[in-house]
Amino acid sequence: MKRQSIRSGSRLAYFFVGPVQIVLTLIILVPIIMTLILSFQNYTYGKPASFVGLDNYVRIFADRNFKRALINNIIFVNLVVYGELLLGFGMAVFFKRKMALKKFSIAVVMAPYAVSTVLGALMWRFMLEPDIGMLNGFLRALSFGQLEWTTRPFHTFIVLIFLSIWLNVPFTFLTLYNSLLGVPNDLFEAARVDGASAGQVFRFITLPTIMPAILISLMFRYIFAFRTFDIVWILIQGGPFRSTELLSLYLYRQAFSYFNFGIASAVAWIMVLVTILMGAYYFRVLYKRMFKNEY
Amino acid sequence: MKRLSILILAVLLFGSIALVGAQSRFVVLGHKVHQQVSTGGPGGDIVSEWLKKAGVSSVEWQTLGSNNDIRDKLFREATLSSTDISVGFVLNTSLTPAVKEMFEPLDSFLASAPIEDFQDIFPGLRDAAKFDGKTYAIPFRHATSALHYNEAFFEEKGIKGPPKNIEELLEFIPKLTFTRADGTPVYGFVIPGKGEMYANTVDLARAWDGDFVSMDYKSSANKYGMVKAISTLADLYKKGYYPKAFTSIANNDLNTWMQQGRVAMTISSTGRNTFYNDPKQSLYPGKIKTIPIPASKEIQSKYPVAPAKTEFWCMVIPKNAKNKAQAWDFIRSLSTKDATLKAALNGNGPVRASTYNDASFQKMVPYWKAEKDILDVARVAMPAFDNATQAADLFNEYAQAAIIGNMKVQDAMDRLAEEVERLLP
Repeated sequence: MKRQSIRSGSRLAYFFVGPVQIVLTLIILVPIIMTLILSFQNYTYGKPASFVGLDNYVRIFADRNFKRALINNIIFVNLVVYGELLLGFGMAVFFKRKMALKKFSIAVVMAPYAVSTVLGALMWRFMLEPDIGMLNGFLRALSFGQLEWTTRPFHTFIVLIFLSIWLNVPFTFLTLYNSLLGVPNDLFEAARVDGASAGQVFRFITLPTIMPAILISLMFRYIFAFRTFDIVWILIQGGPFRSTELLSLYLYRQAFSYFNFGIASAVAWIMVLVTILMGAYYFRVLYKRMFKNEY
Repeated sequence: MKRLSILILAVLLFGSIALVGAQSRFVVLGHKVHQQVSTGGPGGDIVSEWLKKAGVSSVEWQTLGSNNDIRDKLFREATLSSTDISVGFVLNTSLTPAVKEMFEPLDSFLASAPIEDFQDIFPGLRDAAKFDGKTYAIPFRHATSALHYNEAFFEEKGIKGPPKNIEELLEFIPKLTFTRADGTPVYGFVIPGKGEMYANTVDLARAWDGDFVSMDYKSSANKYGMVKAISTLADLYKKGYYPKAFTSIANNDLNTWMQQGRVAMTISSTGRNTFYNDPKQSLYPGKIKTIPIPASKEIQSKYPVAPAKTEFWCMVIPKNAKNKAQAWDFIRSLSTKDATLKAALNGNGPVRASTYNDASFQKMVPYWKAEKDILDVARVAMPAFDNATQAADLFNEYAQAAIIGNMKVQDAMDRLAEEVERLLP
């Protein structure tokens, strides 16, 4: 009687949840499949789509702009993600201590997350304006020269990395800070009693305890940082001379400037596969920790 | 039961309103400025006259803010099985041989219900809307480049301007590059280096009758005119007379620079004269003058003024539009001499030569003579072809590298010409 009521309850649950699940699956799955199919086609406005096999992928990998964008992306993502991790973790450890005006300070640190990326990029663009921007004026006043981010690719890259970290470090900080707060004090006390040094406490207690939060933070940031488009486009559209173009901009140009929808779809799938490859290690470690209890 | 009856009645009522609304919709997709010049201003509403004749209740204007957005929406609509859009505005640079297949050829309409004095429309504009001898679009609004200069700076520096030829312009630049009393740096001459940089640089190259891609589809980036233009900019950059920020300066940014007095001379469309002199926004209202881009002494015997670039918006009928006859009637109505004049008085760039002879237009547009002189010799920045946008991006890449000094100018232009050659039809 009880088993029957559980089964009929489950059936009822499926009945209510099912339609939403079906709609969500269609909304997410259908475009994914369509994009995959399109990646094997040559399709643009004014001409019917035609199957070209792997030709789009071959053309993409032969394109120097794609190769440059791919390398740029890998460097950008790693510098941004690990930069955010170090900075976010440092801030989390700093704020864990007792200090005056803690809440206000945390609010200041979190403020960039409340700013839209478009506005943030525009704001920094004006502040970094070579002739009248206040930041370059400040650097000149201190005899540090000038940040030539509009004409020197290395400087442009530095600015883009800085901007991305500035906008997104609050997320990493918040994740790690909450995780740090959740480490039981008993463990620290026990370690102190046993005579562990600060480094040993950090290495054997703090780090392993917050590792799931670090991994989740890394994974999320990898995925989102890989798709960065707005700050690069608003600042300088991948310039100077397309030297700082990322894969997202390359895809955008293929789709919305050149109308090469087949190639754009292929680039999208390449981005998905590269993201999975780059995050695979973290996915595996997280899986082992959470589902297999292996450390 | 009562509630059900009310519900059914409501559905029937709203449904019939929607159905009636759908049947009488006449949708025009374009830029906000197309609606503005067609429906309001000193010239009056040219669309209302057509509405009365056509028996249409209203025109539903779907306006977007940029060419890219309009093009994107129009092309997507044109690929559907049918569209509500009756007439679309498209920039000539977006009307490529592949894309034209989505729009109705207009020759049969021109034959059965011709546009008034079609030959009065500037030939450069008419011809640019033709493919394989067929007309696919009717020009409506042009944007033609001219030289704008700040008279106040010329007076301040004791320069008797404006420049009579490009050589003189180049001599003026160092004198007009200075720092204002309030500490704001002023540059003698700037053109945008972001976005479609080729279009702005072609304007400068035209001073030597140069091109990026010639009208007969020859890659011309490494020919004399364009190399001269890029070399000029590279030289100015090297000497500090050109802003380091040029790769991040778009058209809108430069408009602000002119208004704020950060640049003494620039090249942009003639219509910007009103914008630069707007007393509400400009620090130099009434001081920004507009003249044709001065040609080089080398070509002035052939071209008294530089054959500047012109772009134009034109009207097309999607092949999947529901009422093409009515759409053609709308286009025809907006293309008459009277409608063209009225739209011009509303601030439109008129595509007819006869409009420039009208006294009321001449009174309203102080730069009308300059504009007419330019249009007599103007040509499009680049002929339309399917890979034009890729070519434009290549231009940005190599031109920026050459100006900054990362590549030698001739080397950069040679490589650019070679890569563009592969993209040409």
